[in-house]
Amino acid sequence: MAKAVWSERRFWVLDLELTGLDSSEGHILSAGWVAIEGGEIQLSQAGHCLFRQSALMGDDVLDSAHLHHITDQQREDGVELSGWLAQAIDEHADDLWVFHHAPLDSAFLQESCRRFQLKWPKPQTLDTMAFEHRRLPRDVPPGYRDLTLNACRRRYGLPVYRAHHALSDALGTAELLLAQIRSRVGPQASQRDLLRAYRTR
Amino acid sequence: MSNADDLKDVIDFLAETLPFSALPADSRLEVAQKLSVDYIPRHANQPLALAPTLYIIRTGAFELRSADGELLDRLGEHDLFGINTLLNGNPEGLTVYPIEDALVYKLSADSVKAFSAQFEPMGDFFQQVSSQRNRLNRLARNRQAKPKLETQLTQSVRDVITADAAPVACSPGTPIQQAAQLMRDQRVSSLMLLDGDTLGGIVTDRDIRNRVVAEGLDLQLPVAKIATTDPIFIDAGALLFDAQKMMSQHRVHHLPVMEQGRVIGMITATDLVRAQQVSPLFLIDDIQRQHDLDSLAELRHRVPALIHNWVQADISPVEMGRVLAAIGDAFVQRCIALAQQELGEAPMRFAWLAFGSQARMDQTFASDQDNALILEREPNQPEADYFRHLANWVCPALAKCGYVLCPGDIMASNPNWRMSVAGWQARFNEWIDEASPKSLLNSSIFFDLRVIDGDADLLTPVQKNLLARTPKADLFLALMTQTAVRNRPPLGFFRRFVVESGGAHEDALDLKHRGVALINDLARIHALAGGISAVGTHARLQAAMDAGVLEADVAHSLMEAWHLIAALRIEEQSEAVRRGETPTSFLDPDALSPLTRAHLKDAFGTIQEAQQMALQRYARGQYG
Repeated sequence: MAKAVWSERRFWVLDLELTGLDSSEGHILSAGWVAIEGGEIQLSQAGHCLFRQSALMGDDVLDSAHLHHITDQQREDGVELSGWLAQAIDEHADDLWVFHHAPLDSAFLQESCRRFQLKWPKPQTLDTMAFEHRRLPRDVPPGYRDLTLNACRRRYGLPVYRAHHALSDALGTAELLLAQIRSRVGPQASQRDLLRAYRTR
Repeated sequence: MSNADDLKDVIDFLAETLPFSALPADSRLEVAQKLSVDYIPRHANQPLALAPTLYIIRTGAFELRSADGELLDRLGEHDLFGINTLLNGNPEGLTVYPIEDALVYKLSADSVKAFSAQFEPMGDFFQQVSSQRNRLNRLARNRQAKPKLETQLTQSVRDVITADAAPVACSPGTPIQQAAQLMRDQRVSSLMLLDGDTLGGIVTDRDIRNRVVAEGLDLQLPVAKIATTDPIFIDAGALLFDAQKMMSQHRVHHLPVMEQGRVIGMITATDLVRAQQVSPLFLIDDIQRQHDLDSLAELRHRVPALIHNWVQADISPVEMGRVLAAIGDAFVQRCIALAQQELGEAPMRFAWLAFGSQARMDQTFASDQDNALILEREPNQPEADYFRHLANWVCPALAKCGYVLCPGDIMASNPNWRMSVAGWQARFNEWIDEASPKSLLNSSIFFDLRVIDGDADLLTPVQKNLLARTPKADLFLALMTQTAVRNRPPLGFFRRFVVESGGAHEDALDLKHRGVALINDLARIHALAGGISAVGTHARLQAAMDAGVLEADVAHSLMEAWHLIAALRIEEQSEAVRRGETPTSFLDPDALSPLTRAHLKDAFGTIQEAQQMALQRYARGQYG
């Protein structure tokens, strides 16, 4: 299994739009995701949804909600986070999960599991930001130390997508992952090589 | 699971990509949902293993090559490939090389077939692309270049004279009457006298009238009697433009065309009239006819439109440079003539010299004037005063005509640059013998020089002496090389290009100082090392290659790089002028298509390698 080539594994690339940085206080507004199968991003397995917000969410989101272009109207159209989460865990528990800056999104997902009394599947996780951070030599001038998704994508010649849309960011992260693997880790890397290259501290 | 808004980034791209741009909007969502996305890192010397899939280039660039490795096409953003393989299994064996890191969208063969069946235009489009690629392949196999849009007088003489018709000729001993009959039967207005392969002279209608009929000459005399022996001729590789210039200079209407010492035909004034529509020659003609500076200066406004037409017609920057140099020369000649109408004739022989871009014939919009005077001998005070007045008339006049004053004061109006033949001789010797990094920084421009007006013979001994000495001047060549490579091409490590820091052009690419100028510098060194008298960069590289000073592949790559960067620069300047801005040599790298970026990266890579080679050869690692 560990010897298997990386592309035999399915990846689930996820991005969440959040109201803040603290999982004990913030909320998940929306999610965007896409799968990588056979070493290629499959747009047939891309998805996006807005979450209906509970009454728990007060005025604290107004500012950021405005920022994320998520209107009250859209929030009313949203789905229940608990249902979406249960289904996603069911479907993707065995995949490699991929985030750009995994600790933040993971913390929110684990906190939501605790609230809805779902079992956290402890997925194997890759972090494109951590990979890039480790890869940058120490002597890189500060101007190039930028680790935002768009800055990392620019280094691999990837196009600019719109900001603050969870699916655009998930697709962007998935492309960044492929670029990192294909040009830095090696096209024939095994799954073990991959986990080693992406290990988080 | 995803709607049109979710996949907006992908759908917007499809909307700008043929043939998907022709589909109804909701069909584009269907296509988007069927796509897979892959990243292909650059690997210029390893072909892609093509799956039977349609590849759509989202970013990056690829080269399409024939089975035997010949370049057929370069593909960039919004281009497709893989259709041949998908439709008919690629029997031609076309190969695809990723030359820049690329992001591609893939559409499976089944989807392509399903969509093609659903939308007929899409099916047609794929068939078309496929057959076009095949045609390119066939063209390459037949060794035919793509036909280039040729206009006006930038075709070569060779292209115009009837290729397969032998020139109409007779031997010098032929009787006059027989020669006239031959001209009548062949319906030509001129006849060449050939002694074997040697051109013995030409006879024209006018000669028959003026030298035979008017004189009552015996018609049985040999035609050589009335011929113009030693006629001026033109090289087959010259431009029609050059032919026209020659004809008007020497007031003739016929020019024998020579190739490698053999006559291959005749070009006439009629051929030229036929070949031209709007021509820079009308401008040159007008320049020569102005009688005061104000109306002369007005003519500078006609240059931008000409350049714009050439850019549109895809005229090569080398040809453009030659024509712009001719226009520049005409302005200089006219200014000197106007000055002399006021100041009188010169007290001795002199020549007006140009340095830098005007000498190399690669002027663009933003070129400034670099010039000097060479005098027959040391002038006495009144003679020196005459040339001071002349220069002080001409330099500001040229500025009025659009040739900016030289910020480095390398102008005839500066007394340092009005010298006798002996003075220039000594000055060049000093530059060669006492070369220092500092002196070369300021003097390298003087090694590209050309006579624009006056007595060209004055410069000959200076140039002869110069080219006899530079090939042996090791330290001079070493220092010159080190000076030339102080500026490196902008190949960045983290970003695609290093852009200029500071000043108004932060984030811009300097195509002059970090592009064409670097190649000009290299060409100058190779020419001086090889004792080559050519001045234009292209001509220097060609001559250095012919002389064995420079390897053919390096010379060709440098020519290509020069072409590309010069063309980009002049295109950019032409656009700036049309927008009413001041033309500069700066380019915003973000505004380039990925394909152009790929070409530019290649060009900069070429320059870098050529710089290293020059260092090794001439500076032998002396602190290189």
